[in-house]
Amino acid sequence: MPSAAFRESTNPMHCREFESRLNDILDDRGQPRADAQLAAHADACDPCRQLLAGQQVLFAGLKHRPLPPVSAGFAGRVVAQAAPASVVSRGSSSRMWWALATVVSTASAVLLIVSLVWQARRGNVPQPSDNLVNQTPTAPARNHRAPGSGLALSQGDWLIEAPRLPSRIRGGYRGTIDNLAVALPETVQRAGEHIAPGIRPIRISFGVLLDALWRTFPGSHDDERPTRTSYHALHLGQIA
Amino acid sequence: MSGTGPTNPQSRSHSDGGLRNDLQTLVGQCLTGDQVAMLALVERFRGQVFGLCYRMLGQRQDAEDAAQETFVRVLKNLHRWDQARDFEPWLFAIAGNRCRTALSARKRRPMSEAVLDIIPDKEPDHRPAQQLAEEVQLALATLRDEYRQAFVLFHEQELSYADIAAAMEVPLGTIKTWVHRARRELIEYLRKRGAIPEQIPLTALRDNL
Repeated sequence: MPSAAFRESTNPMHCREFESRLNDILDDRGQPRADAQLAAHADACDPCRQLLAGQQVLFAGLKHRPLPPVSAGFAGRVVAQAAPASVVSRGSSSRMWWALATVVSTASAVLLIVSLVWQARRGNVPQPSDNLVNQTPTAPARNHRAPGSGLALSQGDWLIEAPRLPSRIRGGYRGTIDNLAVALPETVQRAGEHIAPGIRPIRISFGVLLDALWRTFPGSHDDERPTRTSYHALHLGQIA
Repeated sequence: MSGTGPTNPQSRSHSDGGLRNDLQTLVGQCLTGDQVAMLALVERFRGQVFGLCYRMLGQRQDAEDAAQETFVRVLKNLHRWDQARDFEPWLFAIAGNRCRTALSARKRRPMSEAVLDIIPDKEPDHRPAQQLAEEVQLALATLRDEYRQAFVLFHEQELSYADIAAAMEVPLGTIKTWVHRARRELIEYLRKRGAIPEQIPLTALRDNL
């Protein structure tokens, strides 16, 4: 048998080329036996012949490898697991946006109402200046801070030091709400009669709702209610 | 097929127009929630996905779990499949990820739980086809995960290098290198196990090649 040096020098193909060519043929899913150069080199080179035999054994083993069957009902289990979720996920996307929009709009409305109510109620709070005028000389000073705390303020301090709008502007807020309560239903009523007479029940419901809302304002009294010319003619019987 | 792969007349043509249109129709029906179409889609690719998972994991139950997870993910994410691309690379990418996740979980488990279906003999005495197949399966289990996945996708699923590169999200040249190294390491393992005879008559080799 020729030595390795002899083989490298006399064979037209070197061992490195042999493996490279073998890989190229296998990459193209070809048959190595169809290549005369490979056969000639393997004839004279034991390691390369072993490599060739090795790939032959490997592919014979690959061909005969058993694949166990998938258990019965596999596809059904997959669909049962995936189908409801896939339908729900598509449907839930639009529902999620609707829910988000509802939450945001509700929160905005609540915030608006709370801020309006708060501003309106502030108009009823006694003025600090009035309190100071009526204070007795022995009353403790309410604007001093707690010892050891530069920022802590008592409740009384807040009543005095909380920022307030001038009473003229606060009165303006109150007036705005009153005007809104009067003008809005009338505007809606006029628009409804001219544009869409069919929305009358909705309009009446809206009016009743606004009226109920006004009654539930903390601190509101019947005698403070603005004149609601359009409401006086309405009562719940009209809704039906 | 996406163009950059080697000339490969014997490989399956995944870009066949008719099959592709059928598949797109099937996927469209699945997207409308048609459960019959979903069943058809799973049945169509069940063998390939389970085959890959079984070769990767070596255990039937693990392979079935991974295949099931793969199809559930595929069905839930069908709307994300780019229909301008082949379906199989996308499918095998998901299957490969599931297998790698299962392998990672197995590595964290105690060794006694992670047993392959095939237990190797100390010294194989003869080489009928069944035993040879078991030796090859054991040899595959010794490979690095990415070598094994690339090798199985190329030689068993018969995907092109380009499709495997797309599925595994690595360059095509890297896939070639992995497949070549996998072949060499498998042959080396078989040689050490005595599955390849030391002295081979050339005539026998030529007859069998």
